[in-house]
Amino acid sequence: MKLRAEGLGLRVAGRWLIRGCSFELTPGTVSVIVGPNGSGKTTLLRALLGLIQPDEGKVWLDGSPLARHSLRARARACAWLPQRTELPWGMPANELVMLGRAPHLSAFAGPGRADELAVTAALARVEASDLSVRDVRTLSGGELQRVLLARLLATEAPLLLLDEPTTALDVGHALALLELTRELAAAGHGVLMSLHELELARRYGDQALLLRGDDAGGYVLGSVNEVLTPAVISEVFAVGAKIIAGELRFHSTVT
Amino acid sequence: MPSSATAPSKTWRWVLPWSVGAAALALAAALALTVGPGEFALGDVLELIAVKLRGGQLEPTAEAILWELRLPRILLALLVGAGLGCAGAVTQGLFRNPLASPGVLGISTGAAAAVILGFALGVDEQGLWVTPTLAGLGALTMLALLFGLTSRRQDLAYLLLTGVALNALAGAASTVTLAMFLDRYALAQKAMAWMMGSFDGRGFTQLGWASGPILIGMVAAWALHRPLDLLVLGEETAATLGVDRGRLRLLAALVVGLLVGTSTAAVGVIGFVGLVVPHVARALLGGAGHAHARLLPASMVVGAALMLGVDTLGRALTPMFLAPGALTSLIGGVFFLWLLRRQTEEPT
Repeated sequence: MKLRAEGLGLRVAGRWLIRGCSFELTPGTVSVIVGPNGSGKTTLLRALLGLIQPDEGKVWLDGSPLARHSLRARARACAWLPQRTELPWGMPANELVMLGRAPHLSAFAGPGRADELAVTAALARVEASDLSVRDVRTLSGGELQRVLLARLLATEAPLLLLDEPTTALDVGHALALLELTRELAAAGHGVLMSLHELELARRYGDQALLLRGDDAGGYVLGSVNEVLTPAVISEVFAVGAKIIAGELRFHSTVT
Repeated sequence: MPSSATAPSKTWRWVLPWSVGAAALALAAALALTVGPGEFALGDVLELIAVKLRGGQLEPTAEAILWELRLPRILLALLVGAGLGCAGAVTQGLFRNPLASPGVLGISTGAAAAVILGFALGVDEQGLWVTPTLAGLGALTMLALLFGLTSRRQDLAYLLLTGVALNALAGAASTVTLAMFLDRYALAQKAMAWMMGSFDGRGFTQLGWASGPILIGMVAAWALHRPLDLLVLGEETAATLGVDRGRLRLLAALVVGLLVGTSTAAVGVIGFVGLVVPHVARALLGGAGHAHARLLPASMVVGAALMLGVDTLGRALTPMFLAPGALTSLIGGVFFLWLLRRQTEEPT
């Protein structure tokens, strides 16, 4: 299962967020999208999911355009974790995860044994089995993110698209989540996520797509080590950047 | 050892409460038949059922009061209550908002305005189908306006304020229509009686044409249970799980239009049922209340029970006239304030 963008162009209010971009999301890899605030990371992810139509180019799922696939087929291929999910009170975590089974259920029959097993397995995969009957609104940020990720895994989609999954997490939980994405990739998932933390993107990603945010749709695409270099980062983010002891360090250039 | 030997099976856990609920509702309906002038006891009601099952006739007074007046009225109350309860649950699911309901958002008022316009133009005389159709169209117009006006912002305050504005507009449309025809006393009286929302004088005629659309609406609502469940994750996430957003909105709007339109055409505006009922149903279901597969049927049962109770209370207080629509608004208004208070303490 492969998701491919070809000559992708996205425009908001007359300015190009990205233009003429072609890349591929393949199983077994972690790809990161980085860029300044407002550079269009979320918009790009939404276009790849088919939630909005690109202004130029096309998104392909395997051999045919995304739009040709049914919504159900797309749901079984790509699972989506938005930046924020507002949830109601009183919903147990396992019911939330069960919602991820929807693309596999027939219109009228309720979930069966296989679906319950998938939910249990998904919760176990993110080490959240003990949270299964907890009210989702009482979970901590880190716990909730794990349960939401279990919802994606219950879908059994090979491709996972995550929008800034670490933003609401403290550093410990953020690292644990990124470790998990690496494990999922090792198990055959293709992971594409937008990230704010450039050093973490460098450490956990394989492929990187950097949106310049220059209104002309400029971008840099390549392996993380090619893209996230001090030179590119200083230029795009207007900061000083250096690699010290193998890690990116930043300093303000405003004097 | 198989787990079924120690714990009651899963199916049984659901069958039992539902059977008890249905039986309680049937008993309440039978008891409601005994309320009102004429000395009838539960025994007479059971006799009525037995005789009618054999296809026979009762003695004339009992036949007239029980069979021709009370029974259809009670059945109509159950039907309208179930339909409005169901419409409320669909509306709350669709707008992902526990304060949304056809009454609060102006959908019922829109239906009423269309019907009053029909009265004024005299088109309701054209046939029995005219008033329900107008009511349905009025409800759909309000839903279309709501979707249009709230598509950019989905927060609670914005949705409710839009509902307030639409409610006021539709109410003003009704008032203006009535004012223009003020000299026609019969029209004003007819419109006022209808607007108050009442089961008085409603019988087999209304039951005849209302039961089809309301039953279809409730079945169609149930068919939407899974996409409504997925909406709690947000519209876009639901779309990534296979929900066709446009189709869901359209179908849900048609369902609500059908249910609210038919009910309003049959008995007038019965406010706040759609707001209160799903909350009661959720409280009864506990954690399972998030599943619309169960919330929708539970809302139908609770709605039917509430409407039966309100109408029976009204009949018991005769000759004092207590319009059911006024009573539900009284209960619902207080309930709404309480909900609003709880919402602000426990923001969702």
